[in-house]
This record gives sequence, structure tokens and C-alpha cells, in this order.
Amino acid sequence: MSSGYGQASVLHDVSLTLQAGEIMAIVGRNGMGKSTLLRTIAGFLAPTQGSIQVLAHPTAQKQPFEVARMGLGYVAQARALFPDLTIQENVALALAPRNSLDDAFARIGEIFPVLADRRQQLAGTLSGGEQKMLILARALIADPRLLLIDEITEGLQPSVRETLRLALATETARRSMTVVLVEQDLAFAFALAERYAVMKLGRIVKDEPTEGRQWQEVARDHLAV
Amino acid sequence: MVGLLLDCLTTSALLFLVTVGLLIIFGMMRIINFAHGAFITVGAYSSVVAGQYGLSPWLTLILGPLAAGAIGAIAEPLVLRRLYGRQLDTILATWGLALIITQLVTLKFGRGTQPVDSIDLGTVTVLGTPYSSYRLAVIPLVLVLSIAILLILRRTRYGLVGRAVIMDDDLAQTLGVNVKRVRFTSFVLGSAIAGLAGAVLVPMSSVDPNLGLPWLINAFLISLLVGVSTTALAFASLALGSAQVLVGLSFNSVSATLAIPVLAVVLLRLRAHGFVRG
Amino acid sequence: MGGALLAVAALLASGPLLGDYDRSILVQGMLFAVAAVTVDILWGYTGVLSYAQSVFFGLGAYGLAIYSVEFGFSWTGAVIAIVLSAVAACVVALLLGLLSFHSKADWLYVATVTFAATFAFEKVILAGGSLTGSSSGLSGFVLQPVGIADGYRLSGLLLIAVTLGACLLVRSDAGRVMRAIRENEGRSQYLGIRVHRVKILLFAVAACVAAIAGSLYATTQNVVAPDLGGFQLGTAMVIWAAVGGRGTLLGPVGAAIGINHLNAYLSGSIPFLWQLVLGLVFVLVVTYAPGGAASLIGFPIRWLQSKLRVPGGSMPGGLLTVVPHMKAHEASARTTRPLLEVTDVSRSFGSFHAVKAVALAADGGEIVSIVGPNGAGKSTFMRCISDGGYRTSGSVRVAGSDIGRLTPDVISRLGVGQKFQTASVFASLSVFECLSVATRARRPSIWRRTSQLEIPAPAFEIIQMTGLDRLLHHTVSGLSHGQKQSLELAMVMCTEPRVILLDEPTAGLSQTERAAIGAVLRKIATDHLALLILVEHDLDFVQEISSRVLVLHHGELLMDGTVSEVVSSELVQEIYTGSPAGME
Repeated sequence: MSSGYGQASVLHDVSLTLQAGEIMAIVGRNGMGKSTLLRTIAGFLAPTQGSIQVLAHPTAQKQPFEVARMGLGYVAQARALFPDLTIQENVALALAPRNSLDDAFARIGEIFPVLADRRQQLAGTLSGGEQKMLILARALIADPRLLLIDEITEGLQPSVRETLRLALATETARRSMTVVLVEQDLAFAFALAERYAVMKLGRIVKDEPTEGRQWQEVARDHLAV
Repeated sequence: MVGLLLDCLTTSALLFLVTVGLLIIFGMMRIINFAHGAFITVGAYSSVVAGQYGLSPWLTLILGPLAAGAIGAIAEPLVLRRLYGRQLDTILATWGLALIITQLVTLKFGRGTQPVDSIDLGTVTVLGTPYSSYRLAVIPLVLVLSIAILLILRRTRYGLVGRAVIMDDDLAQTLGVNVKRVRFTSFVLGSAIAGLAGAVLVPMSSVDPNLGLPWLINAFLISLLVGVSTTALAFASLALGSAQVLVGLSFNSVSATLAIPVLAVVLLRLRAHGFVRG
Repeated sequence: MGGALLAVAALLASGPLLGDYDRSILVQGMLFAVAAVTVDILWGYTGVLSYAQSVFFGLGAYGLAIYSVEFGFSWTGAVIAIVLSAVAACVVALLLGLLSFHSKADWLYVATVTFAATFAFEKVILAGGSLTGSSSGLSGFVLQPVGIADGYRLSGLLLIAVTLGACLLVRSDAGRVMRAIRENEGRSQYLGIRVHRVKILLFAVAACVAAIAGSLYATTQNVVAPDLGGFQLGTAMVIWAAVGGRGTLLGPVGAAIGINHLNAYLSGSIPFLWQLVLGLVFVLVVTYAPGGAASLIGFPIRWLQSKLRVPGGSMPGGLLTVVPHMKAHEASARTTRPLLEVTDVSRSFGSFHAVKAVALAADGGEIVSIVGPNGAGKSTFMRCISDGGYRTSGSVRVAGSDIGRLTPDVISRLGVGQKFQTASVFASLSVFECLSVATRARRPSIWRRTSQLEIPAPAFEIIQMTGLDRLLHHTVSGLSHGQKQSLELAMVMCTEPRVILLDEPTAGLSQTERAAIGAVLRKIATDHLALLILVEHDLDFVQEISSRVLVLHHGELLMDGTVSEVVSSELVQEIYTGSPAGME
């Protein structure tokens, strides 16, 4: 997948190529264009220049739902679930009509048992951490081949972060899935990702493997005051 | 007293019936459909067509929704789809659509009132008061319709997808929901319900090309009041319908026709919210 | 403008050449055109969609008819009747306006109220019995019928006068303010423009003009019917404006006259087909060519406009200059109170508390930066200062006076300026016009237009530094993102604020632009003793510029200290590097 664009001057000539099965973290301070990058890949914003290919198919002229049906999962930073729908309804929406809801909940039960027993509860009544679990679970049971995750750890307790990390690690180990994580929590990001990129003012200023790099170092160099 | 109560109930039921199609379109598409009145007219004229072919007037209850739904299915891709996000232009364009439909009806049937064979059920006596059976039958019809709508919304996948689109269409898209198709279906459904309302109105009003216009005004004002909630619509219809009957009884028929617009405008001012976003 | 005159004058001059039938239709058409001009002023230029112009037209017509029936027709009587019905229309418009234009009502509510008004008008006339003639209306009330030639001249003169006045208005400074309101009501309000007052005033004036046209209609036609004030005519007026081209004046005038004329001819031969064609044209125009006929005819009209300087698509030429005004800044009398005092301000959305009891006291000359992760409540906190109706609890004082529940336009006049996060400007105005609107927001002339503008020194520095001073003629929508940001900042500075709120002033700017903006901001604080409050993500920029830093996290004020205190604090490092220790 390669892309290059400038969108409302938020992104400038960004190029990224991910191999199948690769897990990449994108880090950087707020307002540097990370979320814009994900929104553009998901098809909500059209690149003003350049092109995007998801799983070898160009996404130009495609509606976001068409991109989603190509096998792209997108977990947005805000408003990523329907608070007035039940857990079951939230999950059902992401599932193709022919897939069984019970199978889906059997799988969810393995990763997040806390959700599986409360299928009829309204999603808005879950705690912040449980909501994030639901969002991640819903993205995973659709079996995306490329998953974009925007700051899923924001505002969560360490224990919940650990649960989410474990779930992602298990699922990515189980089957080939390409993941792009936008993260502020570098410890979380570095525990999962094989590669990281730093964004600054809409550009990628660094793109290298995480191997041999300490997250504290990267935090000091690129995020600290 | 019983007659008055029944008047309130049947008037409210009619208001609900006339408004609910507008509400579906507004909820799913954020579109205020000024062609709604014209769809009602089309539904009513199905009785004229049925009469010409010697069909039973009961068939209009199917023909009306079919005809209006078909026009909706043509209009949505040609006009409405191009105007998403341009709310003001949608009001203008759907009003233009209403002009076109009304003129087509006039071209075909003339501008005068059409004599029609309408359903005649005679009267029944309710607690000692004789009352039109047909008017009375509107109440169960509306109840059945609203329960059907609720069931579709709560129990089917279409309903689930539809509710998701109302709540957050961007998020629905990221889950692979074809929002375009949901909107198309909603518009056709809303139009068809307007057609049904038109067919139901036939025995109670004269059939002419502008039949739908006064209903449009009431439906539009009520839909602004209630946002997208069908429960709120039921309450608003009951309150405003009763108000209209009572004002008509205490004053005259002109003040009765003005009761709903005036009340709605004042209520909207008091509630003081942007109802579009509500 | 001359073009409008020319066209109407040509029509008038050709009067004697036309047959009586054509002329009598043209009389109608020209009076309808007057109403169409009022729709265009309201909708095309100011963004207020009103269906009720027919109501005022009908009021004028019925006013004259009823007066004549009751007191007998005479020319003096006619003048009295016209004045009375114009006043009545004005009063009705004020009432509808007070109902429609307030901070919680949107355009849809206005459309709704005016829509309901047409409905009500028809019903009231129908219920009026012998006074209004009910459904058959009134006729034959003008005892010495006006000759066609006189009627023709009379309505022509009215149309010329109204079109001329409208042209003057839309190209004046006030016209710029109107277009600014249409383009961006929020920005206009935060520049201190009393948007609702402007709209109510315009609505009342437009009602007066439509009523006068209606009275002339009754005088010349000698017949009035309920549909004159009804919904059909009300929407027809909107259709004329849309089909002719909103915001062009000439377009709606042409469309009103043309459509009315075709109507008269075709209604006889192909009555319903003609209406059908009209409906089709309307839908096509709205869907595919929202600019209307004026944009379709395109070239010749634009040529005409550039020649005649009717503001519309292209920007007029001519020499425009912007200079800094030399008024020495009055060092505001120092009071014992700080310039800005925020006491325990909170803002909740239901059970979610976006801002929790934040307090701040700051004085002129300070640059206070607010930092914190996304969703910390920074922008929400700023809005609590600039919009009195926004906070849930707590109090805000600017230069000692409590802002209470004041609206943003009034708070702006207290000396609070706000620059929004995304560049909020007036897309279809030129750079010069934007600056002029911001500078003259308080009392714009309704017939003159400024071509030399004196703006406060800081605003001048901003446009000079960013090169905007060389782009004064350019339409704002064509500017780069950075230029729009700078322009918005310059517009805010034009209102000479003492407290300046800046939401991410450097977002999307290049490194050089950042440095330049930073220098200007520092100068504003030191030279003009203004208080600057910034929300900023770029921490390098914050370090460079701030005299003080607030740290917000989950709506709470975590720290309030100097730059070095905050930078060396572990808490801030934790929040920013995302280490779990920073979380609760």
C-alpha cells in the first residue's frame, strides 16, 4: 500500500508501504496528522494528491463502506461505537448477514469474556475500558486483513491496556493481519509493533524497525517537551 | 362527549399517519421532503384510477403506496442523492418535485375535484353515539402501522442498520454499511407511507391536485417538533390533534386549521433548539 | 448597477411600443420583481430564506383595497393606505423576526415560521367575511382606474428605485456585512456583529418594500385575492430568485418578469404543461446549477457585472488600500482587578464533565498557553470565556465586568476576540472585504463603500508579513490554508480586542509562518498590553512564546506555572509521553 497526498495542508507527501502481516505504530504529538492519515486511508477524506492502495486495490472513488468491505477495519479515535445500541447489536452490524452471531460471541468470549455474558446491555452503559474492548472485538470478528487503530489506549487504566495488548497480540499471532496503530502510549505500541514511524507537522520524519530501539528513547527524542 | 373524544383520537391518528413517512425520511436522510404532500396526493388519486378500472376501493390501500413509492424510487437517484448535505437546497428541490408531481396529476386528471367511489362502512354506535366506522377504523390501522414500523426498526437487520445510520452514519460506513442503499430504501418507504396516507384520506376529503398541501404544512411542523422519535410523534399527534378539535369546537373552523401551525411555531420557539440536530 | 437601470429604463421606454396586454402583464411582472428583489436581499445576500414575502405583498394589496372600500378611493387616501399597510407589514415582520432570529433558532426555523405565516394569511383572509371579501377577494375599489400607461410608469419607477437602492445597499459596507453573515454567521458574531439585529432590521425593511409593491399591485390591477399573500406566491418568489440566480439582483428581477410573462401567455394555451416545465426547470437549477440562470448565462452577466460592479462572482477592480491607523493605543486605565478573571468555570454535557471548576486570573501583557492531550477540555474552556451562554457554572469577568449570559457579539464588544481552530473566514469575500467587515462591524454605512481602510497596527503587521496586503482583491476561498489562518487572526485584531483567545493558531502553518506569527503575538502582548490565551499542541512554539502555561487534563486544571516549571514537571512528561503513571 503506498500513498502520498497533501490534504488541507495537514498531510504532506506521506508515503507508506506495509507488508502483509506487518504491525506498524505511528507516533507523534497531537495535531501532527496521524488521525488524518488513518481517515484518508479509510476513505473518508480524498487525498488531494497521490493514491492509496489497500490490499492491492486502489481506493480512489470508493465510498468508505466499500473500502471496509475490501477487508479494512478502522477503529476511530472518537465515537467508535453506538452507545444506544446493545453489545449484540453493535457486533451484529459489523458481521456479514450470513455469519452467525453466536459464533462471533463464542470468539469474543475467548478474548473478552466480560462482554460475552452481557449481550443485551446497552454499549453506552459499559465502562470506558469495556467500551474499548467492544470496539476492538467488533473490529476483530469481521476478520479484517488490514486494521487501522486510532489511539485505543487513550484514557485507559494500565490493566485494561494490558488486556487490549494481549488480545491484539493473540489475534495477530493466530492469523495474518496487517495492523496500523496510532498511539500516544509508546510502551503499548512498542510491545506490539515491528516497525514505527514518527509524524511531525504532517510528514513522516522517521520510519524504522522497532527492534533495538527503546520506547523511552523515542519518547524522549520525539514526544517530550 | 364520546363523539368529541373519538374526534380527537381519529384526528390524532390521521396526523400520525401523515407525518410518520416524513419522519422516516428525515431520520434516515436528514432531508425535509417537501414533496411529501404531493406523495399524499398521488396516493389519493390511486382511488380515481381504481374507479376508472372498476377496481374495489379497498385496493387503493395497496395501489396508493405502490404508486407513491415508485415515484420516490425514481426521484431519489435523480434528485435527492445529489443534494445530501445541502439541506436548504433539498427543501427547494423537493418543493420543485412537488410542483412537477402536482402538475402531472393535473395534466392527467384536470384541476377539479374528482368524484370517487370511496370505501363506505356506514356508522357504528359507540356508547350511544353514532360514529363513522371508517374514521374509527383509522385508529387500529395506525396502531398496526406504528407497531409494524417499531418491529421493523427493533427486530430486523434493516431496522438495526437503519438505526445505526440515524445515530452515526460515518461509523456505520466503517462497519461496511451501504449508507446509500439505506437512504434509498428509506426514501421509498417514506414515500409509500405518504401514499398510504393519501389513500386513507380519500373518504374523508375531496380529491383534488392540492389535497396534500395543508397536510404537508402540519406534517412538516410536527416533524420539526419531534425530531426523529416515533414515540414523541405519537404524543405530539395526540396533543396537537386534540388541540385542533377543541379549538374548532370552541371557535370556528378557520382557527381550527390555524391551531396546529400556531401551536407548533410557539412550541418550537420555547423549546429553542436546533431541531435538525436534535 | 447602471445595467439594472438601463434594462428597466429600456423596458419603460419601450412601453409605448408594446401592446396594452403586454404592458398590463409587465406591470404585474415589475411589481413581482420588486418582491423578488427583497427575497434576493434576504436570501441571496444575507442567507435568510423567507417564504413570507408574499404575506407582506398581500398585506400591502389588501391594505389598499380595504382602505379604499371603507373610506372611498382618492389619491391622498391611497398614499395614506400605502403608508399604513407598509407600517402594518413592518410590525408583522418585526414580530416574525423576533420569533425567528435569536441565538437558538437556525435557518430552518425561519423558513418554518415564514412558511406557516403564508398559510395563516390565507386563512385569515378567508375568514374575513365582507371586510376581505373572503375567497372571492375584493375588486373595483379604485373608482378612477389607473390607465395602463400610468400604471406602467408607476411600477417601473418603483422597480428602478428599489433595484437601485438594493444595488447601493449590497455594494456598501453594510452589504459586505450582510454577505459576511451569509457566509459565516458564527464568525460574524464573534467579530461583534449583532447578527440577529441586522436580520430583523433587514426583514422589516424588506417587508415594507414588498408591502408598497403590493399596494401598487392593488391600485393598478383593481383586484385582490387571498392567494396574493399565500404559500404558492411565496414559494414562487423564492423560485424566481433561485432560477434567476440568488445574490445577483438582476437575475431575480429578470426571472420574475420573464416567468410572469411566459405564465400569462402559456397559461392560456398550455396551462398545466407550462407549470410542469417551470417545476422541472426549478428542480434542475437547484440540483445541477445552484447559481441559477445568472451563472448559466455566465459570461455576459459577469462581463456586465465587472463593468457595472454589482458584487457577485468576480471581485470588482479599483484601487484598494489598507493602512495602519496611527491612533495611539490608550493604555487602559489600570484597575486593581485583573483583565480576565475566571472563577470555577465548569461545562458539562449530561453526565460528562468537559471542564471542571477551572480558575484563572490573568492580566494584559501575559501570554498564557493551555496544553493537554486531546479531549482535555481546552477548546471548551475557551468557549466558556467568549460565549456567556456556554458554561454550566462559574463566573467570568472581563476588565471587571461580569459577562453573565451575554452572547458572543456583545462579549466581543467588551474586548474579547477569538480565533477559531479551523480557519473561519468569509469564503466568497475578498481579503479587503473581510478586513473591512471586521473593522467596520460596529456601524457600517448602508450606501457608501470603503476603498481605503485604516486598520489597527497589529492587524496591519499580520497582513504585511504574510503577504496578504498584496492579495487584497483576491477571493478568500482561493487562499492557502496558512493565509486563511493569518487572515482570520488579522480580522480578530481589527476589532482591537484586549483579551485574545487563539485556538491552535499555528495548526497547518509552515515553520517560517509559525515564527512570524509568534513574533506578532509577542508584540501584541508587549506593545498593546493585550492578554493572549492560546490552545496549542506545538510544545516548541508554546515554550518559545508563553509567559505562563496551564495544563488541562480530563477537564481539570493540573498545573499553572511558568514555562520552565511546567516543562520540568514529571506530570507533564507523563501525560505527553503516554506513560501510564500519568493516568488516574
